[in-house]
Amino acid sequence: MELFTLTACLMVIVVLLNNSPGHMQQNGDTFAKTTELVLACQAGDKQAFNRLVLLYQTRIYNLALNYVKTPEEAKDLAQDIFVTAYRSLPSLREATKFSAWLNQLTINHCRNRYRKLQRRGYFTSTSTDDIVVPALLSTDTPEGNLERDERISLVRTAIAALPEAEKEIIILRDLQDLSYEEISATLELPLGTVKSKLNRARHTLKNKIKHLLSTP
Amino acid sequence: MNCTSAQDMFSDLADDELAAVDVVRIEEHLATCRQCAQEWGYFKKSLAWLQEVQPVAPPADFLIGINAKLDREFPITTWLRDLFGSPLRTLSSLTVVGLALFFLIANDNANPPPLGHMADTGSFTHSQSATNQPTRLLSRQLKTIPAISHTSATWSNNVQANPYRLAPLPTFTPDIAITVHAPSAETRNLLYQRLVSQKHWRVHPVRNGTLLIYLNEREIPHLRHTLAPHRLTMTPKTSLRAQAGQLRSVSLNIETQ
Repeated sequence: MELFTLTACLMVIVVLLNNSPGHMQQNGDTFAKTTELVLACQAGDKQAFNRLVLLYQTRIYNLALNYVKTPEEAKDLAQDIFVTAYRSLPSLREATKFSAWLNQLTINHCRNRYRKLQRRGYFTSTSTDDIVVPALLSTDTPEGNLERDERISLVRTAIAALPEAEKEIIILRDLQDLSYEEISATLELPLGTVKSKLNRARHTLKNKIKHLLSTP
Repeated sequence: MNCTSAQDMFSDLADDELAAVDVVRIEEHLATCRQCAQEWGYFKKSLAWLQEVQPVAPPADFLIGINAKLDREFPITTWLRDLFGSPLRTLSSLTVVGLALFFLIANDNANPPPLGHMADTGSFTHSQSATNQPTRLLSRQLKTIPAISHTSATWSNNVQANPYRLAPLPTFTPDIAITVHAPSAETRNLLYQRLVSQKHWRVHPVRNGTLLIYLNEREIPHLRHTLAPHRLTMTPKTSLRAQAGQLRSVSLNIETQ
């Protein structure tokens, strides 16, 4: 009897793990699942939308985080993006293009919010020139972790200081790991333009933090 | 290859997007150009730093916040979801709606048109023997009590034509149904105004200047007391006795003292 109970519990755990969004992201079945969820959502299934949010929330939240200053503002922005997505989802004709559609929606939303905040003088000038980065330490130590956190913070500051077009392409490629084709679809740019803009953006970023990069 | 061409290829070189022939060309250039080699070093290091920027997990209440925003934006959708989101909710909602309709109709019937508008074509001055019925009656049965109780065609027709036939049942279990005839419109109106405010009686005006009152036997002294200030009496007094567990239908004549 106990063996049966144990087996049943294990089966339940396996089923739950197989159904968890994190697992879906890992096993490469995300695309099919996304399409299925989008279709369900378009049919009025609110739970399907919630699962879509769980699948994409990290990406969208992190994208938003690069456009505003604080996590609270990023959260608000990302939530607004999902609300807009929910409202606009019925107009999405091809469920298979949800990911690109959501990226595009996100970029547009972020641009609008960024410009709105910029007009209100929300962003002060961000410069990395006066920041001195300590010598790199091993990341195995607490000091090393602190050092890495500071470095990440500096990189984020440098990204935030990039011109809008360059910032977007850096975020999409180097932070979001989108392919050139995906970036091309999201920004509605030819592939060659994406490559050349990305190269220029990376050079700009490198130049902004060059004084930090030159430290040993 | 010059320095500008070489540095234009840095991104593709880092992403392994270059053709083999271009890789050879740029490597040859980097081997001979110290400045480009240094820039390539910075370029790679900046990309390495970028790779360290790991995604941040959204706050735990992220999804809750989205649903709260959706609820504010789509209140009707939310309202419907709250009401009919599950079988239990649907059942509860329908029950509440049913009760609401019940009380709505009850309130409507509490304010009928004045009895003076009723036709005053005759009177029932006789007392009829009661017809035994089970105490707990279904609504349909209770509404048909007068028709069952009285064999008079006129009476039966009157009951069927009762505009308040959709009136809800009393919330108590009556054991007496009294039909009251008051000849004058003024008396009927006074009587009705007085009776209708009582929680434990249910008064239905029917035609021919007649009222139908459902009540419990223990309420009869109260009914007498209520009628007294209006100088109304009920006759015959003896016919008001009801047998326990049985619903009696009694027709009374009310006269001005």
